[in-house]
Amino acid sequence: MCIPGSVKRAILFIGVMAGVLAGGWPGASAQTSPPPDLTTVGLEAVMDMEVSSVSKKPERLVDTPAAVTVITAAEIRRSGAQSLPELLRLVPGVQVARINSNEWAVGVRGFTSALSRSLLVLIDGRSVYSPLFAGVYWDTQDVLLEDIERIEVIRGPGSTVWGANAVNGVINVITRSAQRSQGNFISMSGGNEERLRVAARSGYETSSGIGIRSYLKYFDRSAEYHGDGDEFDGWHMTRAGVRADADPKERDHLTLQASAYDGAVGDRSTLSDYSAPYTRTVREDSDLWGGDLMGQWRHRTERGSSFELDFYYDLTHRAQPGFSEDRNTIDFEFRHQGRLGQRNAIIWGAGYRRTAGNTDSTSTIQFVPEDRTDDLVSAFVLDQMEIVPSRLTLTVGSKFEHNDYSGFDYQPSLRLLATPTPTQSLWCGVSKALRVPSRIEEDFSATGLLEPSTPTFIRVLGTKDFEPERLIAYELGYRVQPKSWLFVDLALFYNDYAHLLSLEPGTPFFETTPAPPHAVVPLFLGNGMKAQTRGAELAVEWKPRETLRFTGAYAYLDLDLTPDDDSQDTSTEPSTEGSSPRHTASLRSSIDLPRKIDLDVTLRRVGSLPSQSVDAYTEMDLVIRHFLPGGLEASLAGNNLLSSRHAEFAGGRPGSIEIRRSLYAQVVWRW
Amino acid sequence: MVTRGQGALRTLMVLGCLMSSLCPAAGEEPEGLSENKIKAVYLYYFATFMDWPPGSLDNDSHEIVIGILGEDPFGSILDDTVRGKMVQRRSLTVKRFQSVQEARQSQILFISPSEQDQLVHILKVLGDAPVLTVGDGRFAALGGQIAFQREEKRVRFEINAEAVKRAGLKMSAQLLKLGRIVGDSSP
Repeated sequence: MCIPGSVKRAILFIGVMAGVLAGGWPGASAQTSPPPDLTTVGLEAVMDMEVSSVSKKPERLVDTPAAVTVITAAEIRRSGAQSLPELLRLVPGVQVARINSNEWAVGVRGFTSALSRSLLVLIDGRSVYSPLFAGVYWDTQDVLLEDIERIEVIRGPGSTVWGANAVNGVINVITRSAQRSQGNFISMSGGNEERLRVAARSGYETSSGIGIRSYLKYFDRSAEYHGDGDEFDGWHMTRAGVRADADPKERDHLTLQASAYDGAVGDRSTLSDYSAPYTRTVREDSDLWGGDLMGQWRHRTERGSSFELDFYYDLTHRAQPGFSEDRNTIDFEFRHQGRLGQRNAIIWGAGYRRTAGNTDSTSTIQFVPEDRTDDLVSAFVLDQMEIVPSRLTLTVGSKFEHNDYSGFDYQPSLRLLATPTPTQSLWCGVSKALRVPSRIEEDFSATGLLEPSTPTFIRVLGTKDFEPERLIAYELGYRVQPKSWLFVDLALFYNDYAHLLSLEPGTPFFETTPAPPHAVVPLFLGNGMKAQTRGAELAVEWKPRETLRFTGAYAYLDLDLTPDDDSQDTSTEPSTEGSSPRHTASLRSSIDLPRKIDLDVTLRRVGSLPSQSVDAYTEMDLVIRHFLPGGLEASLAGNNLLSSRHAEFAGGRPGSIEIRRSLYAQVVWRW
Repeated sequence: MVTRGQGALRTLMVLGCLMSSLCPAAGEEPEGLSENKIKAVYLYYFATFMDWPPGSLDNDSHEIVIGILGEDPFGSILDDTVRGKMVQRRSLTVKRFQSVQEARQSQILFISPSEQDQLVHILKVLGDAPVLTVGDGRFAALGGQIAFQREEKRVRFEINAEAVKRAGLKMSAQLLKLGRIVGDSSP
């Protein structure tokens, strides 16, 4: 529910913006004489013609009323990155910190944490948000990077379409259709950190036009640097997948895909026990496996509308020191796109998801009940209205959802887009987004040793009345492509959060079971924090020649958390504020050198994280690639070249983990 | 018009596309010469400077097909450029392909930058079919025939003459003179 103050502010904001956007716009451009027919002037004349206007980007980014960055297949190929979170470093406003070899802290517009809370990650439309811990386990999110068509990163809420948990951002990984990933390749790489990576893909097309591709990949990554010498965090993973695409009729498209993975991730945890010696450090591999099956049917009608039906099934197994979970999820979704009258384009959809998790835990880490099945029912409708034809459009809509934790809720948004000229756009929006409770907020109980002599334990406890965390986001953006080779994208935001998670101390008590008797200081999960964040993100793309491309990015972020008057939480404010950098900047150059050599150099500057004891750092990545005859490609890559090692998250302690300079060589053969 | 692919932008983009089809001005290229317009004009001229081997042209349809494989960067520009034009007494037709097998029926095939990862495979499937392949950037050096190169404000092109010969095509001396000749067998 919006509080009246925020409603008033939203109306004021939109009203002012509508006035600014509508006022003083040039009308429809005056009729000009038809351009000369260039097919009669001769080829030499064409060679001397100067490019004088801008070709629109195929992604039509200029027309999107949201802060969106698209990572293209070419950028992925040239980045030298070997995992999804490493690829996200390219996006301004996304904070990526490597904790160790297999863990990352990722945040969008702040709230950076290992579980990337309030961030929705989708792989081909399949949500990989974990309803157990409310976040994303990055160690199991992977695809064959060569098969990615693009990654869309939306900074800011996407809740009106994607629903709860798309609060701070949406990351959408989209792989190519099998019809467009034909041919075979094998790639092999090795290095000091990326010890061994092997991947193979085979794609073919039947005579009836059905595309099928399959892949297999394996990697083994070594541990990062450990101050205490205990290098526990190596990991290895095997993954295989298959995808088929077919067009049974001209207006229909069918997709079926499946993938499976199995691997182990090195882990070290300190577990507590009610009997002496009360704590023990467990160092063992987490066992991770899972798989998914997805289907999609898209149909276009003759009148230009279309609908699609999606289905997926997802299975995950995670067994790590202290607890394990098996989870099964099924999801159905329907979407329809069409027009209403001359000026309205309507998209609506409905979905159903059932997810069942079975946990297995110890006396000090528990989910109560151990097993739980939840249903999610949702629907959304979006209307895009043309206020001034081709100049000013208004998008208004809402998501409606019912979940088993907090019941029914809605998440509306209102966005205005102005395109005074085809090469520039100005947009603004107000949205409400929610992070709904998950098992950790309701069912969780974790107990740790506080003081061994008594003995006294501290216990974090979920509460049944946890409310959704709520965001009202105010956004403003400007994009301009003054020249064919120059693109500038600026986004500003003000986010107003309420009911954020807090830790509220309760009254200490004694308990006799489980034996032996002990004292417990309870800490209840509450909704006692609020926050305001402000920030700006700037991206500039400059491509002076076909063979030379520069991209620069800068992001500013100011996080301001405050406990509610009745909250006694003193730790969340400094720890959250100090875990996201205030400034981040990057500069990348991509050069096609003669002799079939590609050179990519990236410089990154990340501001300090006071609560993580991490200093600001500057790092450099470099990839050099040589195309050889016969479909061969050889490359050398280096990450973090400027120092032998540096901490990115959770530093400052004697045993802290630091990220090493990584060098690897790769050979790819395509045929 | 509905966008292909699926994803986060989809919804907003589909709306954008629906809107632009509602009101033609929004989706059109601005006035002046865009890079894509110049490339489209080049594709027309390439058709006038090529000789396809006898029997490779379809004598029933009397057309020369300019194909686009992969994501179409041109929109309606290419169609507008060649509309009503005749080359070698044949009309020019633009067709879009997702499948390489089908794209073999083109006389000129523009291979979109989106297909670069599949280039080795695409060229293998095309084999020595009499198709003039055109692309961007490193395309000619990697075995394609003509690659557009934007150099500052002008668009130029490279020709891989060996590849043209392998496809059994004849290119006029004038075109060979204007393009920069590159090879794919050199390192």
